[in-house]
Amino acid sequence: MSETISTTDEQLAADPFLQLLTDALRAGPGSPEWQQAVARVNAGEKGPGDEYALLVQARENLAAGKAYREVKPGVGFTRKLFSSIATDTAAAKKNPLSASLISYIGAGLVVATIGVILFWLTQGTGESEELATLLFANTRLSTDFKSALPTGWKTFGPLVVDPAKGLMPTWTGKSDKVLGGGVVSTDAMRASEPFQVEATFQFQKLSDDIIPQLFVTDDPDFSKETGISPHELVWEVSGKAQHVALPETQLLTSVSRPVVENQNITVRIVVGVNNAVILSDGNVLWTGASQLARKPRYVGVRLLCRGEGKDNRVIVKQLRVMTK
Amino acid sequence: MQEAGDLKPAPLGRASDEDLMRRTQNGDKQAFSLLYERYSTSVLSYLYRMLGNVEDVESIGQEVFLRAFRFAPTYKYPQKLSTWLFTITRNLAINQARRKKRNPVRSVTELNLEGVDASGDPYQVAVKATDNAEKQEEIARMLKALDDLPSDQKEVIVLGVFQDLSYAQMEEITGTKAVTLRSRMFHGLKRLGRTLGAAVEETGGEASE
Repeated sequence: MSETISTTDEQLAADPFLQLLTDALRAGPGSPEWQQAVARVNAGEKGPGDEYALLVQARENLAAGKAYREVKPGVGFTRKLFSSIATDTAAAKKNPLSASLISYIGAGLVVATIGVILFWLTQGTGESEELATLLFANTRLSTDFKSALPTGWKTFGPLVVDPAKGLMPTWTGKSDKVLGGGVVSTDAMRASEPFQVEATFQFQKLSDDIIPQLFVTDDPDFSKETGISPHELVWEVSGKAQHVALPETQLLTSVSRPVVENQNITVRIVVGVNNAVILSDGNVLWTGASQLARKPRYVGVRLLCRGEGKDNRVIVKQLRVMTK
Repeated sequence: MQEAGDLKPAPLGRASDEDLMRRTQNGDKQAFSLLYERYSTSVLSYLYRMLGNVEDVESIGQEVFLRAFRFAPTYKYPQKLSTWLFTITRNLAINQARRKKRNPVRSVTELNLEGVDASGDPYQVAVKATDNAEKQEEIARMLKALDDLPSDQKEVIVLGVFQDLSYAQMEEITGTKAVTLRSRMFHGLKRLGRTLGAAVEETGGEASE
């Protein structure tokens, strides 16, 4: 078919018929623009009729196929959204309280501050900023992955991992699907007790096919396919970027600290009653409402792998849980 | 212009988008739920058409409405609410498409969407549109060809044809001049038209065999 219809931006802007035609193509069959444009095409007023006819036909077919990929939210989608909004609103209502307290602090109520912070930590109010500076001195659980797992930890997930020589996958198969596996605490942390989980990852080689994650979950019912739990706060590295995923939205937030090869990173997730802080090598990556339920919390590391198994591109060197 | 606090006592169901948004700006969740009811299908369908990936639609869709509620105070009348909402949706979809390129492995959440099976298959859509078998083939072919269009042409067709947005709205959402959008619409449909032309020739060939 010959290329005879004028199509540059300038020609479109200058030609009233092309303006009418493009209006008609957007508005579609049934619109006044459509009737006018089609009438002029059918009358042969404008030229190469066969090509215009195909344009019109293409647009008619699209109108007929308007249901293509039309999806509606299900009940679960709506429930989840409004639950997130409720959490968001509750968090927002707490902010003015923090602001006024900070103004009191500025006025010199230093002594009272200690009490207020303690109150926040126990009541879960306005705690984010303080969490990052809390000192967690007591080791509740720890493993350095140099020998068999000590009490308080267990492996999980379809991806078999070796916890005795630095945590790494030992699965030897090949898979196009993502498989996950790792180590999780068997002892739960109380929702009312602030704690910190810390892990050190050694990155030999960065790859999209192996994703290390550090997580805190309030529902340790790990998927048999992926080893992912349904409600968890996650830090991960995929590609060269560090990300955070929240329990409710499951949407990854990219954080601006790239990872480089042959480097160790120590990540800390500090969890309060309602809020959490995620730090990488001492730098705060993310802070906000953790979206974790007020239920017992379990911590762990996981490797998500695709492609070939057994490799040492990412190794977890240590994992520990600290309390105040 | 009406102030945010100056609300008419109209029944919520009949209130305009902009009135509902003013109420949302004052923290009225009921008003927001009506806006959600009006726009959820449109937003989710746009995401499905653009991303073509059901797994992403749910998480991005959640984020769109969560942001719409959270950032409601940034909405300024007289901008059309649909324009404001689709600007948020488009930005998140673009971010997700970029992220997807870097990170194809993703935690998949449960799917809470309705109609995915039926509406995602072009042949099923075509069968519902007409009883004419020849026309059904043509429609299905067109819908499949839509996915192969360059993304800028596909975008203007999805926004303009499927979401019924005007060129002026698309200009605001995409930051691209209306004349360029018209040109993309024209070229996109011309490509789709050629698919039909090729199909006619192909069918002719088969008939003569």
